Amino acid sequence: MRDVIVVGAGGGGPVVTKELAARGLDVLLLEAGPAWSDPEREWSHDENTANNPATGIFRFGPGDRTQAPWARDLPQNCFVWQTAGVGGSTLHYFGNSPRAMPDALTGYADLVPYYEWVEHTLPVQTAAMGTKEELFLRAATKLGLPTQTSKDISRAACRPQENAILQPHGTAGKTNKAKQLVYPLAKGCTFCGHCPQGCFLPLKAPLNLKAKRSTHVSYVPMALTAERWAHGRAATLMPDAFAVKVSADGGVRSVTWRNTRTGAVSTEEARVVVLAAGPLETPRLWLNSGLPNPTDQVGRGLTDHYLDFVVGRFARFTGSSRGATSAARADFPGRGCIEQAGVAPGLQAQGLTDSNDPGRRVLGARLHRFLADVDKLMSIAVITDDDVLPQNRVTLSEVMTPDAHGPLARVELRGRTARTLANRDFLAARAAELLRAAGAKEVVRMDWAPVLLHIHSTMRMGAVVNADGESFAVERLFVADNSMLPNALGGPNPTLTTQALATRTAERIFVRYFGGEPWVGRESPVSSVEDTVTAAVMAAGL
Amino acid sequence: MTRTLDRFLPGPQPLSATAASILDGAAAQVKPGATFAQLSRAQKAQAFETLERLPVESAGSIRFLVGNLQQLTAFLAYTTPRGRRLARYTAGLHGHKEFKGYWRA
Repeated sequence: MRDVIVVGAGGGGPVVTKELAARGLDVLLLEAGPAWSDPEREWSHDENTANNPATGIFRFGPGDRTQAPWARDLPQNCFVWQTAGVGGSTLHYFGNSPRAMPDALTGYADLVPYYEWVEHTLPVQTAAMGTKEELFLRAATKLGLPTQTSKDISRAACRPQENAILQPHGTAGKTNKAKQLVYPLAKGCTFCGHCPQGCFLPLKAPLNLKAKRSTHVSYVPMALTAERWAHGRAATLMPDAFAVKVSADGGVRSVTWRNTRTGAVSTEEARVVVLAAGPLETPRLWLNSGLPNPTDQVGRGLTDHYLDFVVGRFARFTGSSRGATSAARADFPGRGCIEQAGVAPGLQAQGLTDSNDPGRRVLGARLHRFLADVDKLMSIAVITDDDVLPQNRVTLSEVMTPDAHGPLARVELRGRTARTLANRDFLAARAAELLRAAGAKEVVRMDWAPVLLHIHSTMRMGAVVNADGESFAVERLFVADNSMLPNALGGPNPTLTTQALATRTAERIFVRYFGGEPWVGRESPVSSVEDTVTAAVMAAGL
Repeated sequence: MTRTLDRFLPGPQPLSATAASILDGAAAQVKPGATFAQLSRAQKAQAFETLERLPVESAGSIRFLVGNLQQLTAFLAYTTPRGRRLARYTAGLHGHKEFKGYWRA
């Protein structure tokens, strides 16, 4: 019997895995998607190769890409952007790691030491500036927004992102010549502009020194080498393992999974199980397992920041497609946030043609005009403080045919509160003002149909799990992904908060079920880029 | 586009054929007897609007499919070599000379 089985190697699962492996527990980490053995060879900067939802490397589907992606029942116009594979959606995320709005979380002050622990481990650093960041922040300043200088959001203000991207050193950011952009000549972010296509740069850097800190390069390598850098016990990673059932029998928990390449079904027992399959698959797994749902809250209360997109067209160079995709932001407590989103032409075109309102879509000659030069655009994503509503939810589909892993997740988005809509309009107006202050000749607000990129709160803390992430209905069963967030955090990007809470969950598991002592606030964290970790990663051949 | 759709949701009928049937059905409402390909641009927009106005309860996944067709087309068009050229995008570089330092208020 294992000590702990963690289901899902995305943003949260590897955090629990690494923390408990470092304490010497026997942890099995299951991931439905593939493992990556050589990202420099396996991944691509090409948008279609990387991001095509049906065939792309970073689709939500099995590692064997001759097979179809995994389906969801989506009975409305929306787009779900998730990735399967070790690292999960942190593979394509922008690395933005703000803390939550303090007023959005009860007990925020208690969470700060856990934020600090994660910020040191990833690490989280202040973003370097390129042209688009300077334009954004100068315009924000012109509009009267002060610069936020603390990690805690205290007022309406702008700032460079606090992001999980290593700052540039050496030749990084100073040349576009490939031969000079090889580690150790280049360290940290090379300003390639390919965050959504996965980050495998600088070339030849050890895995744990790649610029963007997906869990694939930070927490997972630490978990797999815990015996080398922490006197812990190396975790076991099982890729291509789609969990299909979780059982609870007395004090024993078990997980059954299906190998997506061979079809073989396996089961292992553990003292504790942690679900971290994401806010759509975690409730699906719960419901497919027939686990208790006494208050009918499993799957309910989905929030998604009701994202919107505001784009400005400039006469001048903006560098939109270069550097970290999103390196500057402004936060508006009580409303949400706006942040840059400088993507390559394919995703830019996708964003310009998506709208609830057909009249807003930028099509035909107008699309050609906007995309006449991708580096004369500036795009701003609106991330709204949206409210929990019970009718926005994940259930099991009764319409679509189940796949090999059981009935599919049905994702229903049935309403928005007046406050959510007002927040979104407010933020879109601020984004448009900012673009005009920056000198945009033409500004469009898209009014996107739901883009499910920040998905949260389908296994809400306070409704399904307690503050430690443990199920109210089944002890020794925890949740450690975005689904356990109690709400949309007031607007900030969710990954860091989920990782801080996952750290706390790991600590509580160790104390409650394994007789250990807490460590956050008592010990110093080890950064994933420290020499001891690099040596461990290289010795392990990762 | 056909490849992406058919790989996205395999079934007895390719998803691209389903999409074409849905669009042709909407086209016939806009201009009786016409297929979607025979419509003018304005009429095509009208056909899309017809589909997008379908009530959620009866439209089911049609809303999802139709809602994503234009975006997917745009994504695919601008990820081709021609699309990248149109956007003056230098693809595939491992870095840019773009680092300006750190923000000071």
